[in-house]
Amino acid sequence: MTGTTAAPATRRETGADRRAARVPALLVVPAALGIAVLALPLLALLLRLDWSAVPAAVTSPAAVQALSLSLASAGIATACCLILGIPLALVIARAGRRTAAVLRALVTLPLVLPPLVGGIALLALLGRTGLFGESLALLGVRVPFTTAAVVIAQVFVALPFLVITVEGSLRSVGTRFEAVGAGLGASPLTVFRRITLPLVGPGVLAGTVLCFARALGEFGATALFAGNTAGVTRTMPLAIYTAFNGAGVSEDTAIALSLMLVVVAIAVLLVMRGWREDAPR
Amino acid sequence: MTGGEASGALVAEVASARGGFRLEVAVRVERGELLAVLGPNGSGKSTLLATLAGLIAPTEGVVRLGDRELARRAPGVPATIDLPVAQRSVGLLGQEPLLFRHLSVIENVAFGPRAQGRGTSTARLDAMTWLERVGAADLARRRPAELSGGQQQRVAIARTLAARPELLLLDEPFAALDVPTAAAMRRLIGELCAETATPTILVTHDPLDAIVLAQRAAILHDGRIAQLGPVAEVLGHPATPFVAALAGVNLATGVATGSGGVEITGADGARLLLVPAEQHAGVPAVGAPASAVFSPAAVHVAPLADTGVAASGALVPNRWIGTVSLLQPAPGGVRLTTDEHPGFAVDLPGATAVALELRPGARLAFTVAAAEVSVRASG
Repeated sequence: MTGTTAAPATRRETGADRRAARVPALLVVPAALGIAVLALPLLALLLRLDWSAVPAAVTSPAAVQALSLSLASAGIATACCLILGIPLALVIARAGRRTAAVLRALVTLPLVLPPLVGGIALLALLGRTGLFGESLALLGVRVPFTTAAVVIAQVFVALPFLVITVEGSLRSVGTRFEAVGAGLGASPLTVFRRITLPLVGPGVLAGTVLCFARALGEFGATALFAGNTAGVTRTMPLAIYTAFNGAGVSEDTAIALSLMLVVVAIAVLLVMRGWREDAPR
Repeated sequence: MTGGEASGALVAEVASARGGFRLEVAVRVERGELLAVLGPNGSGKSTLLATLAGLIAPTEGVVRLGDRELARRAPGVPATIDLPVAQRSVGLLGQEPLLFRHLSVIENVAFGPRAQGRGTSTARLDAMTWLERVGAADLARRRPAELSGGQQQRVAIARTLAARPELLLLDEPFAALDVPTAAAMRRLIGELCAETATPTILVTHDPLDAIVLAQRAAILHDGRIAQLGPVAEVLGHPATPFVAALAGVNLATGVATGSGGVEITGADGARLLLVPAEQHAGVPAVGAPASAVFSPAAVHVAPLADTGVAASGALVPNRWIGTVSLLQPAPGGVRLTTDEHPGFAVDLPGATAVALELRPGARLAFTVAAAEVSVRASG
């Protein structure tokens, strides 16, 4: 097996290893419960669905409007996250230990914060009486309760996912290849463009997918900061909420719209898988 | 960025610090010259290369390459000159090829020319020429992951040289290769260095690299150059036990005697007088510290009875009576050491060892051939 050359430092895992390292029977029960907790609600959703009502619900102008707003705002938010997040991830990954710890804590905060708090915080900054809001109002710019507010709220909650994923990827790639590039005469920007970025490509892709999915599902911060105006700020999650609570509208519409979001999310995951398998390892 | 062929000599007089370690060296490598740097682990070899490449800043000193100053710093003040790595035109090749895995072989080699502003097609032509020179032209379209370790290192050499470095730094480039591959790579490096006349520093732990490739060798020890000179001189008369072990010779340190020899005191006051057959210039003054060098194979071993020497205290030049302490296999025979002079290895052909009925504890007479002894002042 090992041949005459020096054995590699870490032996590859074989089928025999997996056979020997069996999962203890006692742990199988909580594992099964875990998957049930995740999968059963979605299954119940499908079972509750009145399939005959689905076509009408998802093709209704309100649903189409909400879905296009969601896809567009989440797409723009993801693009913003890429533009801001990759440089931020690079700065954190290359910073000294203490600076990195502080920056990473700041980045992680929106991740663990309830999105509603994020919405209030955004209002405190950009609201009519907010920190910047008053000056912006003098310039004639109003941010809250616009489509821009939707995008800002989505960036606020989704950016951490991208930064954390890309930063981890940068750390595992290390700086040795960048040093080689510099030694060959490449400027820092050339090194970033031609070495760093391609090497962390899979991480950027994974981060982008997480970021987009989080932006698509964003509800709390959007509701507070952007409101719920059809065609302007009513994204899919808000449309579902409205349908669910709305007078005269049946729960079926909410369920059908939820199904659409589930389908979009699954599609995004499948696309990512396809790309990752092509990606050079 | 200047991109020309090697333009001049490297002159470095620098101190640098990494962790608690301090390096202080002065080296000069001429155009067309290859200097081998040898030294034990932690002696500062990598710190030296990192300082020259610009990966760490010197704490003081000057690094000059031809008419360019790469770094200049006076003690206690910020560096007045500290060129970024990318602007130094210094090629560094280590033990690992570190090929860019997302690029094909030819794109890897073309990276340097392209980064230095040459057009895509010119850079590719350039890269192809270098791949041909290292004998890897047929691998051009492959991905690094598809190559063997030796092939990857060939491509890495092509990539380093395609960037037209004015100084080449090689950090144990053969260490990860198997013996025949390392031999082929050694030949290739020798040819390419001779062709391009790039001043080159080769860090190695293998004296063979120094013998085959280098004109001069420097021995680093604790961040300082312990010895610097022509390879034959350094390996032939090592100044430190490290180099002696590396060169496979016995190094004896003692006091110079009137006969031009060196008197050595071994374990438990055992004495040995080593006298060379020929005197070199620069005989150490009597009583001064001196060292003698002889090869483990230059020792004749005989039973006490044959030599007619009683185990008396009389000091016969180049001879000691010893008790075998340790026997080890050696290529073609046996290597032994004695209680009296544990630092000296003695090599015997297998047949001789059998005839002598060697075993630990045996008392034998050891005679060093005077023609094989060389003596120098030490310190």
